[in-house]
Order: sequence, then structure tokens, then C-alpha cells
Amino acid sequence: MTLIEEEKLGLEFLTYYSELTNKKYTLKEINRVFGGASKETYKVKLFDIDKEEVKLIYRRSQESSLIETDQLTEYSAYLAFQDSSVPVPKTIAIEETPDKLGAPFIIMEELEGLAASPFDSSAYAPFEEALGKKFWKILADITLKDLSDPALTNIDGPKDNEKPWKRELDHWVKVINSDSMGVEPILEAAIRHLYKKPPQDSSRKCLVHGDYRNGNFLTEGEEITGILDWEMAHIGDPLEDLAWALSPIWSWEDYSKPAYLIDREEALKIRSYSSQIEINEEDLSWWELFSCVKGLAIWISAGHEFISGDNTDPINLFSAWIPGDIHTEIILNTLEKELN
Amino acid sequence: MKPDINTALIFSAQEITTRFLPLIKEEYDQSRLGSWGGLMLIASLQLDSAADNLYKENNQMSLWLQSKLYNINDENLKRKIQDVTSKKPEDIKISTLDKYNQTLRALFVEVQIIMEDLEEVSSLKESWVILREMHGHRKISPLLTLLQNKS
Repeated sequence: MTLIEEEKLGLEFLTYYSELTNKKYTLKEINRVFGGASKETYKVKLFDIDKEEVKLIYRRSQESSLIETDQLTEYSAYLAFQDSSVPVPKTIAIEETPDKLGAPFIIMEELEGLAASPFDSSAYAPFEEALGKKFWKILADITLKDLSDPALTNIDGPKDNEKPWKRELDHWVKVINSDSMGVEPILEAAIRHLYKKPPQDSSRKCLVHGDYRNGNFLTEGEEITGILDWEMAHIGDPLEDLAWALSPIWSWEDYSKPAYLIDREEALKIRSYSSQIEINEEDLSWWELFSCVKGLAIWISAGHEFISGDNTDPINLFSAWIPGDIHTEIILNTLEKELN
Repeated sequence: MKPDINTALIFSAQEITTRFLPLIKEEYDQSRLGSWGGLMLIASLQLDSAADNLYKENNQMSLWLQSKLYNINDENLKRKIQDVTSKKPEDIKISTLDKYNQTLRALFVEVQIIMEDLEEVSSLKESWVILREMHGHRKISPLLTLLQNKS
């Protein structure tokens, strides 16, 4: 998108927002945020008539997106956690059709704080300890979310007797089969392993963020100011988010400190104590291997978007090359161990 | 000797990241261009060995598949393995070697499944040694730090 097109997008947004709030604003600036190929995210700054600055986040669906996700899922999750112990941005509006601004979108207030790269090992220094405790406690709070909250009505989950693990595994295998551009024996072996040795059915279902990890939260010093990117939220197994957040991919240079925060053992203790859910190690191992398959599905999908020309954002090429490589190696390490 | 493609790509990537990147004001465009520079650098480092790696992988998979023929009852699969492994790619273009590599990979998976069913642990271990080596050929995660510094 050229700067002129971006400016046009900003002015269209300004008109929409002024009508929505029935107030007059002027556009100060609109800037696209890099990363996260599933949505185009813009930071928009407006001035109201008193010259007070209004900072907003404008998230538009892309024509082609990494993983097909609808805006309603993310918006519903944000709604469910307004003014709670799980910090999320204040929701303002959702448009599920392209009628108003050419694509479905959501608008939220911009939160203070910075999002780090999940591959930056020193991103949280020197606040790893404080942030780590909060990160794993917030995960427990998400797990404890009351599923009868009306805001969660639009969030998908297992139907009837459908098993959460099977629903998720089937879903991501389908993505792999649809988008894969080659045969990956290591990935295939992992999928076979997961189907052969499923986890126990969890006694309870919970809200799953779907992409709970470093890089998807904002920090300001030792505070976590926002948990973001809920577009893959669903109802599922309490171990799913935990395993995803623990994955060595998010602490590639130091496995012992998941998400480059605190030690794995301490993280598990906090999560277990705060959620009052005991962790079955074997089941957790299943979900950790599943995380690699899910990750690879996402990275394969990114590569497909790139090679098909649908979305040549370099983030897609990066995803296919680097995280894809790392998740493959984690599977390799895991399955080799099983064999020996 | 004329400059090779690898060197040209490395210098292009360096020029992008050191000369042009600082000129861009928009954060999004800056990150995007920085990523291209880093990815180009990775591509340049992979390019030289790509054909050789595929050639080695194809040989390793062919040998393993042939060595498992005695354990396969499915006559169609046996014939297919014999057929594929007896033919060699027509040329050594990366695309040709890769196409052959994909055919071998599909057979490799089929035979791995048979070995799993038969609980042929030693054959499976051999197969994982090959997969480890193949993964090593494509492994670019150590370049992550490099990419981060460039972008």
C-alpha cells in the first residue's frame, strides 16, 4: 500500500469514526504495524475539537490472510475481558462486512506498551521475573474464564461429544493438507504419533487464547498492559495454551525459560496453582507436540500465501523459513527421544 | 572469475540494510525492507549447497528404500520403489532434483508407516538418522540472530 493509499484509508476511517461517535475529529496520522500477517493493523491518531489526541487501533481483514479468522472471534474475546484481570484493549466497534470501509474490521483503543519480537531473548530484561509471574498468572485467569459469559457465544468449540484434542488436530491437519507444497516426513510422523497416542479427555473445557506467547502481549516496565491477538480463540482443553506458550520455539536460545521469562518449573507451578488444574505430564507432552504441528500448519499456510502470490509480505516467507524450521527440529528431537 | 550469484545477493542484502533502510521513515516499510534484506542474505547462504544437498538426500532416501524392500509385502509399492530408485533425475537443476526429492519423500513416508506397524525399530532409527541429516541441510534457525540484527 502506497503512502497515498494509506492516507486515503486514514481519511475514510476518520469519516467513519466521526459518524460513529457523532463528534468531529481531524486525522493526525495513520501507520501500519509490521508483523501479524492475518490482519492489517494500523495505529491511528486523531485530534478531537479540543486538540486532544485520540489513539486507536484499526484492524482490517486482509483479502488473503495467513489463517482464515473472523473478526468476531477476536472482538468477542476482547469484550469478554473488558475491565478484568486479563488486560485487553477497550473495544469500540466491529464491522463484519466490507460495506463500510472495504473490508471487515474492528476498532479498539490503543493501549500503552510495547510488543517484543518472540525471537528476541533479551526483550523483557530486566523485568523477566515480574513479567513472567504475571504472564503465567494471566494464562490461569483465561483458563478460569466463565464460559457462560454471553460475550463468548460466538466463540467456536467442540460440539456435543467432540473431543477438544481431536477437533484441534483435525482442523490443523486439514490446513496442512490444503496448503502444503511438499511432503514433510517429520511432520507426517508427528501427526501419526498424535493420533495414535491421544491425551486423556480433560474434565473441563476452557477458553483458549489460541496464540498465547511472548510477542503477543504489551509491556511497560514490569507491567503487562495488554494481551493481544485473540483471533484464534476457541473453547478447548486447558493444556492447549499452556503447551503453546511453553514451546521451545518461543525461547529458542534458552529452553529453560519459556517465553524468555521465568523457569519452566516455576511457570508450571504458577499456572497450576492459579488455575487449580493439575497438570498431567503425559498429556502436556502430547499438547507440546501438537503445538509443533499447529505451528507448522500456520507456517505452511504462510508459505502457501507467499508462493501463490496472494500475500507477498516478507513475514510470510520468514514464517515459512524460520519458525517452520524450528518447529520441525522440535518434532525431530521429540520423536527421536521416543524411539530411543 | 566473474562474481557469483551468492556474492551478488550478499552485497545486495547488505546494501539494502545499511544504505537504503535508514532512509525510510515509515516504520512498517522499514521493517518490511529490513526483512527482505535478511531473507535475501539467508537465501544467498543456502544457494550454493542447495543442489548438492538435494543430491545427497535423494541418494540416502533411495538407498534406505531399497534396503527395506524385503520387508514390504505390497507388490505395487515395491514396484514403485524399484521403479523410482532405478531412475535418476534427467538433469541437476534444483527444480528437477527437488521434484525427485518429493517423490522419494512420499515413498519414504509410506515405508516409515510400514516399519512403524511392524515395530521395526532399527529401520525406524535409520530413517530418523536420514531425516535428521535432511533437516540439517535446510536448517536456518541459527541465522535467526543474524536476521534480527539486520531487520
